[in-house]
Amino acid sequence: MAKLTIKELSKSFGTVKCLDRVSLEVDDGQLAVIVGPSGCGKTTLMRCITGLETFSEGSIFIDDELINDKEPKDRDVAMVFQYYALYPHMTVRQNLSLGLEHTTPFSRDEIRVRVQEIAHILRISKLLERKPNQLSGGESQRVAIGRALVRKPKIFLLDEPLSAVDAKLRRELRTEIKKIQRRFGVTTIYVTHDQEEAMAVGDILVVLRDGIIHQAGTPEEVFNNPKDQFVASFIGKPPMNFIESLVTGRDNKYFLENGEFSYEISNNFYKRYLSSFLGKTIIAGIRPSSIRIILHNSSSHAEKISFATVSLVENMGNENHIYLNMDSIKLVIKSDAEIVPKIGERIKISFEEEDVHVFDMDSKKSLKTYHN
Amino acid sequence: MSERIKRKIKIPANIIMLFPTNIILLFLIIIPTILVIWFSLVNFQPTFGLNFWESKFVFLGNYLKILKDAEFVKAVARTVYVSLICLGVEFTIGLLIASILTGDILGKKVLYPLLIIPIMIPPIVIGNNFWLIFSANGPVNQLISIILNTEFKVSWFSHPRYAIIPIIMSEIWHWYPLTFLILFSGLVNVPTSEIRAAQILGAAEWQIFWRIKFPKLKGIIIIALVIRMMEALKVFDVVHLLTHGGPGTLTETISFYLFKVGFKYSRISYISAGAWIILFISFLGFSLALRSVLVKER
Amino acid sequence: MADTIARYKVRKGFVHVFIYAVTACILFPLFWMLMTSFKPADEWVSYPPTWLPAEPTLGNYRFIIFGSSGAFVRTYASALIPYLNTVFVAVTSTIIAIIIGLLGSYSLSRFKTGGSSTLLSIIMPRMFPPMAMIIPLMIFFQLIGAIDTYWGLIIVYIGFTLPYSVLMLKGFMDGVPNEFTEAAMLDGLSEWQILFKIWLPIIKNGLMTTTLFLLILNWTEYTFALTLSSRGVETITLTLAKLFSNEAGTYYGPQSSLGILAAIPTIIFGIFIHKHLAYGFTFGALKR
Repeated sequence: MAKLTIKELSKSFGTVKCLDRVSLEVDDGQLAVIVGPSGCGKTTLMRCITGLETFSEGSIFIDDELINDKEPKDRDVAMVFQYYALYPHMTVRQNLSLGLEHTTPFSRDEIRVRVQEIAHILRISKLLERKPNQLSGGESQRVAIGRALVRKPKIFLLDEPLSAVDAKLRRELRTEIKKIQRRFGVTTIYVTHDQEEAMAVGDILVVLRDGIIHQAGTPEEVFNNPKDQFVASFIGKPPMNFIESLVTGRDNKYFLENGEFSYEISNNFYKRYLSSFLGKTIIAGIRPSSIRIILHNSSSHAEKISFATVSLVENMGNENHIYLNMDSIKLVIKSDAEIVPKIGERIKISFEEEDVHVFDMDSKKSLKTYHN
Repeated sequence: MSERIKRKIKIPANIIMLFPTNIILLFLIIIPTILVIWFSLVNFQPTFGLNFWESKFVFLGNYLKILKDAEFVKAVARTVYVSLICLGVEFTIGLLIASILTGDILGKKVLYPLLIIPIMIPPIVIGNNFWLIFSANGPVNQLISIILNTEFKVSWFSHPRYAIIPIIMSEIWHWYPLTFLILFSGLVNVPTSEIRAAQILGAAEWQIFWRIKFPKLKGIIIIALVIRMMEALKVFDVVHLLTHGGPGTLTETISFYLFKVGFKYSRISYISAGAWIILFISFLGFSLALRSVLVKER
Repeated sequence: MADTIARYKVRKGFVHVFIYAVTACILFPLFWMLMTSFKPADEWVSYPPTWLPAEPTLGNYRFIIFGSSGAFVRTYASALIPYLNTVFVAVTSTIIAIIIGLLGSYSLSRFKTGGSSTLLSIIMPRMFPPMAMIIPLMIFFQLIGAIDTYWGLIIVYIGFTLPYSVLMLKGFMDGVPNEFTEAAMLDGLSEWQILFKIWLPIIKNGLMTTTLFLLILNWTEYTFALTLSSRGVETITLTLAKLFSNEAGTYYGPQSSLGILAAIPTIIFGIFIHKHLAYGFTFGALKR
């Protein structure tokens, strides 16, 4: 249980910059998820925290103590490896005890008690005398977690713990991990490439790409207020729709336009975010969940209606994903399961202005976040 | 791929661990090696009555002389030839038996240890053994007589053309378990998932063998062949026992030639040069072969 | 369908017959040696050769264990002491070579000390024809007083099996996945502890295989024993050679008995660990 602070961490492999001035703060007891596409440096970052990798610039502090030069075993950190790495020739009990034997002055009995405790919490007491090759996937993972947590480390790290597990088990296990983390209250770093997992598990999300942190915040923040287009597209499933739009104005009214598509924005909206972009192209973003289908017989007087043609309907069981074409613009929206339009059908859609995100065409940064 | 932390303690553990190896090799190998280099560059013959450090320098004289020596060259060629034959046959036999034994054979738990036995027998014993078997009154002649239905009583070890055969056979008998074991464990350890997939797709046994199992063994096979070849080139014991290089010099191998010239005729410098030439050739050959394995590491 | 099953069974039968026949052929020389060891002198090279001794005798074994009896021209000492010598020298040098090899190969595998050139230089001694090393080694040993001593022979054996020890063990160690080492580093183990507590058990099969290989090499070694210690330490390879090359005819019988007795320990050890051999010979190239 400790605070983790990372300042300006950089690491290169040869000429490739793997981590670029990464800065991060994780408070005591928080579960921070580092999420990003493969190869973005998240595993490298984690290994730098453990000490298994060295880095060229920057500093890492645990509880305000600089640990740059400390050996892995002196950092009081523990990790669950992607493939668990349980010692194959030792029993589960021995696996759990080994760390304690070497990093603590505990006597054999004290170690026994600790192991018993954690086995009980993780419900693996019955497995203590087994060998790793006799365990199922889920059991192996709990043992791996046990091996890490039995040492009561300051920082607890998990490297893609659910990647080796099938989809159904994944949901169960990620809930379990979250519960365990809550119970122990240990500061945790969790690495994954699955954004859904990240959203479900994390107290704060750290979105990483190509060694740079794009955004760090709570799931709500990251979902509702993405700082740039990458975060907006990465978080959320199905991903956000993007429409390149020209900002136009006539008769004191302002519009976002692309071909046939013309969306009127309020003066307020324009003044706050787009005032320096008149006549320029920006990227508008709207989440599938924010777009409504206006049914024919609906009596709403929604103003901002657009027309689009259905190209594909995916029946997901509890909801449908509908793919639409609006000229050259492609969109995807969500709908209730009962609404099943035909392919080629022309339907009416509408969305609210407050759900529209706008991004700078060049920097891809969100104009909502960085507005003046 | 992963970076290891280099120790910053005073004496790095990795150096300490390599230390005993280095020390022993230094004393045991390097010092005598230096002596051998010295010998090869001087004219040293113990019978001269000189102390060895007083010998005269002839530099490359010995090297040139031995390279021109027809018997030396023949011995080298013969040894390489014999080694390659042995290697080829051992590999084939080893592969054959290994692939059969990975299948469903009754009693294979008993067969397996039995088939390994030859490699554990001291070469001298093998020499004695094959002497008995191939002796003029021995069972080999007897069996051939029965097959050919005429009396076959060849004196194998003094026959100019056949004398090499018992040597080759004894070497093959002695060493085939090495290739067998290596190929067997390689085959046994191939991940079953790929084999299953191929079986489902309807591949025949031999296809599975050549396309899936065999390619995975390449690295192992190279190490095995290198080790085996290194030993094969040095074959001495059986030659000494069975044919004494004979008849004449027709079955002399490199080691035997060096032995004869070095010990019987005391031409130490001569054979020292010869040994270096052998080492040079072997080193080239093996570095090439091992390079493909060494680079394979993580 | 029935047709293919029948064909399958015929093929299976054929394979069985084949492999059993091959095994019989392989074991034939051993069988012959065993039989000869029980044959009296007049049957050793009689013609036509007898496959089973017509008059089986234990005389050969008595000769080996107790020394020659009056039936033989010269007196030979019992082979018991050389046998024990060989056990002592072979086992000791194997154990030491394995331990030193473990350390060296760990250094090479884990830390890649010195790179591939170090590895090659360690293997190089093995490529050198031992014949040429004899004189220099004799001279060197003469200087340090190691001729005809136990420790002299042991050190030579260690020196010449170390390359194999390191090469083979390194191969196995290369197959140990990184994660175990990293988990152990986080668990607080020192380098030495990682070697002995984690790696060693994981490469157990390879270790057994290497030990067997070294044991065989040391047990059957002839050249160095002959030149460096024949007067002080007689190993059974020397005894066997002595029986072979003497003037009054060759003692095939006793030689065969000694051969059988000499072969037994390595065979027993090999059978003992043969299960490990199946996994041990992959040199770490395939990860389990």
